[in-house]
Amino acid sequence: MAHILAGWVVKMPAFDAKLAFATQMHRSMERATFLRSRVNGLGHATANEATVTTGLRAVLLHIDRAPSPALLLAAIYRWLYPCLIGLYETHLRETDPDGDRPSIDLIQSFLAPLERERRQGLALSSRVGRGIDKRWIGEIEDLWNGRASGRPLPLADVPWNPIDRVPAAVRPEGSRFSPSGSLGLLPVDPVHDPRDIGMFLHKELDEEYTTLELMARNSYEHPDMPWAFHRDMARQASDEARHAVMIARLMTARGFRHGDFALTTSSYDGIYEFEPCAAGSRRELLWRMLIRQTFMEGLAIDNLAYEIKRRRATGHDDIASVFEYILRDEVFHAQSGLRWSRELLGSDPQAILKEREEAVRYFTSRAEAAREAFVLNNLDQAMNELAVVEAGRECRGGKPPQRPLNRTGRAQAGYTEDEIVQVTSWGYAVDDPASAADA
Amino acid sequence: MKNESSLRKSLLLVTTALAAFGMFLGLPVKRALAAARDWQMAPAPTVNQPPGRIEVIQPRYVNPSAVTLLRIADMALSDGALAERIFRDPDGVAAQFRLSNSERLVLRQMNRQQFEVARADAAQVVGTRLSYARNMRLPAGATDARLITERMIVGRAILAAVGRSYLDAADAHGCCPWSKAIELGVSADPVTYNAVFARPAGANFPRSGGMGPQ
Repeated sequence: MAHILAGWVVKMPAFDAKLAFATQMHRSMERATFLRSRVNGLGHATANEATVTTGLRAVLLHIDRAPSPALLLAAIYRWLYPCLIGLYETHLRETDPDGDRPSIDLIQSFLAPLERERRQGLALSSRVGRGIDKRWIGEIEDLWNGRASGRPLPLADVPWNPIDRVPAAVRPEGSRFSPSGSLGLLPVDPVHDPRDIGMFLHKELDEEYTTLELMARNSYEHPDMPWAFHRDMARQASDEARHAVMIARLMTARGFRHGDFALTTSSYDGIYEFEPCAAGSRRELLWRMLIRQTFMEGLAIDNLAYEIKRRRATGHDDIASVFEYILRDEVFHAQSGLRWSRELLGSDPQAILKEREEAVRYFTSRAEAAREAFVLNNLDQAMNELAVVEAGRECRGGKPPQRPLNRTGRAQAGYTEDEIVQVTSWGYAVDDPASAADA
Repeated sequence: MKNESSLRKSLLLVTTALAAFGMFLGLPVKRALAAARDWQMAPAPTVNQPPGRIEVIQPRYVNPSAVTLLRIADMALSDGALAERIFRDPDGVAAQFRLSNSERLVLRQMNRQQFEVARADAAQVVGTRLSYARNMRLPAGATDARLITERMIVGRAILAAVGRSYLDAADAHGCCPWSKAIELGVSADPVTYNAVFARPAGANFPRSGGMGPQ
């Protein structure tokens, strides 16, 4: 289930569906972890491990190949969830109430959340239309009837290779986007001006959505990565969904909604693939993690700490409180990116520095190329951007924006001293204890 | 990171040339940029965004345009004295033409070398277009070296005024450096989006090549 949701998060047009899928992907992964542990425990002394038949795998793969978001929702929430809940209930009725007590406790803890998830999923159907292809659903039923057939597969081998590549994040029809190469939304005074605060939060909201989408695809597109990797990706996707909900709440309180400004999907589209990396390769995955989780989210650790103090000082306690929760999670996200980057690169500490240098250089070069093309083809818009940038500079009294390094957060995330020097040498953070204290 | 790499230079050149060429062939800008992107990166997008309007929203502070700067660049191309004054006393020229603060900042970035490079680059672009187009009719302006030179001069000066690097762009935002300083979204393309969701039930997506060690 987590595998299907991970693959589809980015393809669902409705934002509600993205949030639900990211959250449920994490819950499914955690349930699977508990179940795997329990089933492995039941197999002790007989040398068995938890397995799934190729017949059941065929059912799930068929659902993953749903021809539309509407059919996918129908397959999961009208059909698969009731079947799974039914199987759990059957097990509760038929198993030994004393001998299998741990399984009973586990399943009973699953049932209420599963029912809530099913209802939540059914409610999403209205967002994507309802066209139900009975023939396709019938095919699932046929496969389900043969689910016990086929050879047994260890749980880790159940997820299948990706059925697609998705280089662009899907958004609701009619959405407006900032053009590629532009500077996107440019708040002049995101601390005091209500509209600019709304714009600032809007950008943040898009970051949460695109990051949850990218993490989900990292998991989906690399099924043979270790189980712990998929748990980490699922947790981060779920974290980003919580962040999105909190930021949307801040926006609502200020009279803004998602879509009031142009959307950006850059943090997915711009980090999905890279010419120097083969599509779907481990190096592509590595670059995604290096850029998003260890470069950008490292900067988030720095900036959020600064932003929290700035918001508290300005009286934006609600924003500060939300950012405090987000900051805690960012430490884990960077930590996870560092862990799995190192796992892919081996034990050489210089290798990660070198690879990050190459990945970030490529990424920024591509962005700068897009920027030049945009400006040369959109002189008036570029002039408009310049005027807004100048207004922002004036608003800051001509000073550059502050970028104090959060050394504590960086250390907790696991950045080495060399990695801290790397990011400060690029100019994105300033390791100045005095300015950090002032902030 | 601070030095321009050959990779960056080649990416800039290719993207700019392709996008500009597409535009002058009559392609909408987003199509031209998408074409440039497709050339640079591994192809085979299978799912894309539904149709959407493209716009930049922040018109409330000013409503500047590049028209005056283009006019000045045009005059300077045939008026050596004006060009010299731009290079030596841009603020004086800005005052003469009553330029806004933003326009003045752009004018300050113009120099002799930039004019010379723009002339040479424009000539090269025109030559490439003519040889590429052969018998095909090109839109008006596609081979107008003077027009292309003006746009190059003004566009590059705007870039210099804002700052060319990713870090400059991050500074321009004044906050949130982890966010995208420069947009890199894939332009909305309803055709590919619809193609994906209209495919026959149960059909496999075409696999991208080189799925790596899976």
